[in-house]
Amino acid sequence: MLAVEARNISKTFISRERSSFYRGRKKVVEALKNVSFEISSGEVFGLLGPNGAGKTTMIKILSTLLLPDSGEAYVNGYDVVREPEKVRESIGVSLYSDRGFYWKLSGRENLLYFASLYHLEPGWAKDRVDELLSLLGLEEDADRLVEEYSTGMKSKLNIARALLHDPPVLFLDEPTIGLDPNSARKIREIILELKKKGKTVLLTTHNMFEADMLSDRVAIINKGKILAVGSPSDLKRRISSKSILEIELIGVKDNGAFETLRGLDGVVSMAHQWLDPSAGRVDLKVILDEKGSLREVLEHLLRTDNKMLSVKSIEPTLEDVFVYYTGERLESQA
Amino acid sequence: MYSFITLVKDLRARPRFLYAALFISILMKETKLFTRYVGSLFTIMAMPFMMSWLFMGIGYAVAGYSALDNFTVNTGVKSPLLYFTLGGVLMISSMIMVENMSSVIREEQLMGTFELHYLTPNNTILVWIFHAVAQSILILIVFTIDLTVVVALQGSLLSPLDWLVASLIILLGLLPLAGIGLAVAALTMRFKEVWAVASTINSFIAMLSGFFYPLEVFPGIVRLAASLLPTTHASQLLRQIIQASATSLDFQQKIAIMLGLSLLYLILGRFVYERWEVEARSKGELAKY
Amino acid sequence: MRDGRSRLVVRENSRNTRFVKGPRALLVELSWVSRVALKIYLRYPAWIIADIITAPAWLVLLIFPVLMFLPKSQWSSPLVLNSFLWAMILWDIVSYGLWSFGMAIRREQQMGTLEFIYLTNANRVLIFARNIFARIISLTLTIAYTYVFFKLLFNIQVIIFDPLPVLLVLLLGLFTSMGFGLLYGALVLRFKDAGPLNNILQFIILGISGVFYPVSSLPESLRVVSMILPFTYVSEILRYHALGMPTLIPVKCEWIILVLSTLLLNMAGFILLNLIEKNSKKTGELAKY
Repeated sequence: MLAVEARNISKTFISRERSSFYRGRKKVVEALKNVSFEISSGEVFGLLGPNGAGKTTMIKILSTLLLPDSGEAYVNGYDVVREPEKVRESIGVSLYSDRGFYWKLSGRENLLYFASLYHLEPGWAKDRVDELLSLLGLEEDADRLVEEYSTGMKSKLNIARALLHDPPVLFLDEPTIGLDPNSARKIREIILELKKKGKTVLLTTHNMFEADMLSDRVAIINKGKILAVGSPSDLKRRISSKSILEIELIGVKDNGAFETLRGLDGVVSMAHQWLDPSAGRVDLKVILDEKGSLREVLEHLLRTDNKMLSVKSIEPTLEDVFVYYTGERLESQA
Repeated sequence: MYSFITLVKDLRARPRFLYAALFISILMKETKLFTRYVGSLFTIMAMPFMMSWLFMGIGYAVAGYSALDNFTVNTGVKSPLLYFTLGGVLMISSMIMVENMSSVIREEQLMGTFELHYLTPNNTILVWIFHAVAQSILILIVFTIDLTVVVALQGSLLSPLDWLVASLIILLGLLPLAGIGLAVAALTMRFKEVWAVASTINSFIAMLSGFFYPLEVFPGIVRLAASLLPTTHASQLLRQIIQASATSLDFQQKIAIMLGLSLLYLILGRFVYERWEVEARSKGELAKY
Repeated sequence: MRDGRSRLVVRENSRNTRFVKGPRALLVELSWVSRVALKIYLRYPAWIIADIITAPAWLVLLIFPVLMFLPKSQWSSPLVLNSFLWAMILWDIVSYGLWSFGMAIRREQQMGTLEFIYLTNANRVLIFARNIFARIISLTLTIAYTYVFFKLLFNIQVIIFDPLPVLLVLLLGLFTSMGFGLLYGALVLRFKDAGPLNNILQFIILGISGVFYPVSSLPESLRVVSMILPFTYVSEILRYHALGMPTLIPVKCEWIILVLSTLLLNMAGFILLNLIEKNSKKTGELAKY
């Protein structure tokens, strides 16, 4: 049974560049290009990609906040464009935002207010709010004004709001961003609990560890396109026949020192991340196919006068899958 | 391509006149913001005229044919349009100044840019005063356009000297309001309701400064309170200049008073702001909003 | 089932969730919307105080310029002053309705709560009309304070011939201005900062609708325009029932025109708000502020 279906969804935004006092030229941004995927009922589906990949745009389309330019999407069997009220009854959404609450209301008051907007029966809403505050560890701060809340507390309150009316489908947009490790761990535990209860969760993140840990399946998205879909182990298996090297260089003056690696025979993909630009320290991820050879790579780098600090051969991670498909690092874009 | 050597080299080059460069960059920023809110810009320019027409429309409707004669007797001025437009420009300018300076802390904190000013090697009070000067300059442009239209309709134009003198009076009238604004900004950080206080101050400045009526309508004690406002003197002087009826004694006296008030309010604003700044720094409240 | 598409059993995990439907849902929304409005209002005490304190200042600022067109002997004419008093009260109510939706939408945009509201199926008009509940309190305080100040300043009796129709027309005037407010709110949703437009609109309405003077004193060409505006009828009916002043057309006809135009305005506003909501979702500008 499908909880969420997206078919050939496209979305373009138009903005204006400004370089001086007046409006400059139009800039067209293709946020989503023919994106299609399906999420089964009870599944946790991760949408993994860097900032600006189109994750939030996708969530907003599925939650009826944004209309697609073309394509169709269904949530819980309802068309997001033609039956938005039914879709909204079926979903809970936590959008990444530092705002989104009334500062002069307490956490509890904010939740009760939104409970009324979700048409929850008042007596029941009160109990539900208490339950959620307890679940998210906010009971002690429930009656403090939101203007005094930390970022982590607001994130938790955001998730509590998404769970108010106990919807079968949840859209969580970067739920752990900005949280300390303990709070992030707590949120992940809650997501796993929700999965056990049979909720369908669409989770967007640029944290590959989170995507790997929580998701039944992951879609890798970059620049508005879905590049690969599969379970984390499937995706990693796709590149398991490849060798993945992590090489740390020092004293590097510019990208030219290693960009030439891309043209080397057997190098499927390569991405870099500057660790310490002042010292010229850079971390390279190189993916080799069967034709590629570690020795050739190292010889090439030594020929270009690079000093190597370390060389490691590693097990593939989702980040490596991302590098394989895009030639870029998730972290360097985060 | 990142080149840390080049970047370090560039950082060593500093502008020759540091504070002039700082002022110019603040002026450029304020000008861009001013001109990009086209609707607000248009409203600021049109508001004095709209208020004038409203008062004149109601006045003529209520008083009939004798409206103009009554006006001349009550105010000593023949042209209600000039009288009200001048008052309107001053009122709008003073409101903008008080509001902008009062909310300078709050607005920047909401945007997240307030704390960043403290990371630069500048005296922050100077930065905010530069903001006030930049806004005064922009308001001068509005004043020039609005008054030129009205004065031209009377069949004359302000001479360059008159315009310079009028500009000086406006600057002296507005800058002290920046001091009041800063004091309000600092005092209201605790309550975070700066706009309520700014709105209250604006309403009393508008009422007491004689923008739209002579202060003789008030009892003596109220007139005394009004004389503590720089805008009161600014509106009286400007009317005299535009009607070419100012005496040099009047002029010198009022300029001296306005200078004194400018210093007083700016020093007060600085004092209150600096005290708040010390407290905010020790409590880590610079970024708190 | 639809198009062979299988749907999840809705809320299979939510057997315990209890919802309200139909009119009861609206009542629950209304209850919480009004509660939230009052809580937020009362938690900004500076605004409450500012609202009350500034009332006399704005009264003076509006009335005194107009008095300049009258001979001093008429400055304490009960009819003239009562016209102003009722005009001020009417304008207070009407301007609030005019601004209410737009301000509410703007506030939600700035707080970041707008999108979360649009994620629910709650009635948008009810949510954005939230501030009116708090306004009822502040308006009562303002009217009382204005009345006291008026008595102290001018020492005249307030004239009110038929209190009930006066109350009715003020209430209806609020709904009329809400209709305009919905249109303005739709513009805020689209253009974000439509404040300048409303500033200008206010002046035009004030000038042409006869809020401060009978429309009969306007020239013919303007009178025709003012007959199109529903606020004209609010002003005329108010003056008729409060002060016994004549109306342009029979008062019963004016009542009918007012009721019909109020209904039409509100419908138009509602339709426009929905259209712009849909358009904002297309362009992705719903959340922008």
